Amino acid sequence: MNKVIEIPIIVCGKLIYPEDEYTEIAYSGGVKVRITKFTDEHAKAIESNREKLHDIPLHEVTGYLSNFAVEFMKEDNPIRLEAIEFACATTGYSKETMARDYFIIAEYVLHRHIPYNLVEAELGDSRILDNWVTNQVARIKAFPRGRAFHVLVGNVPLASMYSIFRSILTKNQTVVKLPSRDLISGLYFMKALIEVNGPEHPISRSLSAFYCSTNDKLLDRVIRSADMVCAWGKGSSLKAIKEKIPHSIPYLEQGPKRSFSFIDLNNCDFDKAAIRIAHDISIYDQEACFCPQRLFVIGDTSKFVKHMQKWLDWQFESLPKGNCSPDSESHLNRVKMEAKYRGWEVFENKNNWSIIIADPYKVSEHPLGRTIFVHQVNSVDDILPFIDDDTQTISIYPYRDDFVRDAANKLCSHGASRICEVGVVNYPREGFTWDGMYPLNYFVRLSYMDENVNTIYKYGRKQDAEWYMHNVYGNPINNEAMEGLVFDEKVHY
Amino acid sequence: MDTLELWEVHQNLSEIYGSNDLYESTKHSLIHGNFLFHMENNKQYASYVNSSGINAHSNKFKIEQIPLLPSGFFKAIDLNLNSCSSEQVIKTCTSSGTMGSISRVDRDEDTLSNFFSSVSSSFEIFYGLKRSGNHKVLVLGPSNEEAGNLWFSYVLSSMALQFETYFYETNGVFEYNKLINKIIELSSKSEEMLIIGPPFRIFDLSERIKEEYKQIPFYGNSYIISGGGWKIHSSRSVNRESYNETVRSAFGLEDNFRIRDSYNMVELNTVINECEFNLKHIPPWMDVIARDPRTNDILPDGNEGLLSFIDSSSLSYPCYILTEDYGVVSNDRCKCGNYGKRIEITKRMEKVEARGCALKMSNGSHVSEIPGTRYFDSQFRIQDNSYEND
Repeated sequence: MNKVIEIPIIVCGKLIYPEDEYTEIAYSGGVKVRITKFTDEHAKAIESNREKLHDIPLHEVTGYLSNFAVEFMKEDNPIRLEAIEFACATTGYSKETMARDYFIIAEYVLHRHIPYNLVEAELGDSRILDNWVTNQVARIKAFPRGRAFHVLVGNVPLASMYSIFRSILTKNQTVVKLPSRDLISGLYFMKALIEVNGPEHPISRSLSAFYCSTNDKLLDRVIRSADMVCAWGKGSSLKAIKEKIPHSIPYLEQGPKRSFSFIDLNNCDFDKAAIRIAHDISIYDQEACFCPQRLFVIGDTSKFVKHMQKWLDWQFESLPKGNCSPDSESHLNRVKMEAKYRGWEVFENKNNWSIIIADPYKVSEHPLGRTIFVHQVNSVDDILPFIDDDTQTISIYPYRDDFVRDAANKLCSHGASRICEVGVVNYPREGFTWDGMYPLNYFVRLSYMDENVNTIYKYGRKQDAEWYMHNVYGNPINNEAMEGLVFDEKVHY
Repeated sequence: MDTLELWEVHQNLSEIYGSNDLYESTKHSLIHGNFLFHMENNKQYASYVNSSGINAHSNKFKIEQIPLLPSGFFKAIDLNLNSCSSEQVIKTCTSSGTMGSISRVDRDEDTLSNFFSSVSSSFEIFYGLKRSGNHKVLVLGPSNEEAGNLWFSYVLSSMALQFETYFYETNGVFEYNKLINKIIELSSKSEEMLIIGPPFRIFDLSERIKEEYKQIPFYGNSYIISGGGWKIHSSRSVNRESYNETVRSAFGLEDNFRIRDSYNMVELNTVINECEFNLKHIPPWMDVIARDPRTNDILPDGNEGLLSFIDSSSLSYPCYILTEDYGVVSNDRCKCGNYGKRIEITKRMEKVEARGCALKMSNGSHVSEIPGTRYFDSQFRIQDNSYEND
């Protein structure tokens, strides 16, 4: 197939399609993408954009997002259809995987209570983006940082869109460097938002998305003009970006992590456990940080493996594996050759999925691509040597409270960030933290407005307050000169 | 197979290269013998072979059936690959680790001896150099003693063993000026020389000569031999034609006859040399097969694939390597007159870390840290030997 796909960049809400000047990226299968070349003029336009969004009430922001969702949920929506077609051709992911991710993001922002819940969970109060919210004797309001610059990765399409969503929700200008691995998802999310809500909407005018190489000087320039930077990717990429960011600019790193699963086979139904673990292994072909790479099991693995094989095949049918590069396939073959050399049991369905029963201390490499190393253990304590603060998700089954609570205390105190049920690693519940933090805090300035000194609140009697103020002013206690000057007659409690 | 047999091959190398039948029969005999040797002396490898359902003693045995060891196996410190006892190992050779984790290859006396023999016999065939030549050798790397176990430097210095040799890297510092002065001195005395080094150093040397002296002419049967590839300097690598052009210009050469490249890796026990047409020839104690990266299936000659080598010169370990280098194999008679396979290296495999935000087993945030200093510790952080050099 020799196919050329032409896509625009977005500069302050304007879609600019490629004419003479474009960057061409070749993908396997003979697909080429031509995207408008990002120029000095475009960078200047982004730098000079002073669109301020802080006065837009949150309900209008959520309305802006849900307008998109209503249209994007429709299966015949032309932008959605084009996005799926182009994304499949370039990312290698199957149509089912792309359609699923576009459904998830649309469904998520469709429900307007969800963004409110998110703000409340991460910033403490859903009103904080619109109003001064009383906190002890202070009043707090979250103002947007200004221009949020996102360096996205393409392995998880949903993550690209979610990064943009965070930025819009917090009323920031959103500027995105698209990843070559997935030029489509972030771009078409923005394109759909603009087309549904109109290009003149102030939020539309705050959106920009472009592509350039990582050593392009224009990229450095955009980084220097950002008020916060959010970058996803491998360690060396994150480090390179960090070195370019001026001091005092918040930098939200979404770096690589590893995840595991833990199943007590003695206390669960094999099919229930197997369908769950099969799903977690299959999504994004394990290229997401939350996908388990190892499965620790209490109990006899030999019977359980048969159930895993059955449900991995089933999941392969419903969420087909994407196209792997020849190099990725070779890595997978090499890992299986090593397993066979070591005499480990290998169960496989070609390269569709692989199960390797292995000694946990001797596994040195993970090839991804729906490969799971299975290790038999006696208790959660046997997993602890493999946990550090690079560990993101540990999914557990059965999710009995006593079993989970004990495991969670041990695993998280060793560095793990997240405990969840096997089968739902991709679907965090509201209130979730992300890699051990609440990322929305990076997108806002939490300004505070003092109450006046007459507000005593719960800290005691007026005499105590007067005594304190006398002291901090450096005057002798009960100095008559200060009498009546610091406090008004009327004291607020 | 024993080393004497291989030694005989080295003695008659010219004759073997001149006959396709002799080349093929020599290759088959040496490799089959070597395969049986490893089956007998390496239980783990024999078990691996048997689990693949291959009968080593069958009349239908084919070289391409030999189960391969991916080069990554040599990075796993706990994997036993040796066909000799630990007492027999005289050198544990290491890779530089610039392209990933460090590989370790144990060699016994016979294996190292075979390696040296292969170097000297190939020099005679491809460069017309006698073992006791008068050439002065200028190595753009450290001496054998300083190189220690680092295989690449060891190979460079070994290629110069039989000649009067000068080394131009001391304590990691490369001395361009000293080297250029030596080249000028030898050139003015009309002495023949061999300049041996990695391509990035030869290229830089040529650029400096062009800039400062315009040209230093070569005398007589002198050669410039590169090896080891551009490695961490790949971002400034140039294609072969530009490389040749720069070197020709610096040394006043009319054609590429005196500019040669060689191919080797720590896992391979043979240096693969180029003929005067810049084509890399596989010696008759080896075989090379290009394979489909997705399936490891054999690809027809002329197709780009992952290169796999069967090298019968190693006795300390089965040197049956699936490399991470892509290349093209050709098998018709070369313009230089030699029979046997030739290879052209085209690219390297992409590292698996390039994919996704899933952190691979062997690397983590410790990569940029001093191992063992972080508050949280784990198996991934105490396996110092598997650290990636990012």
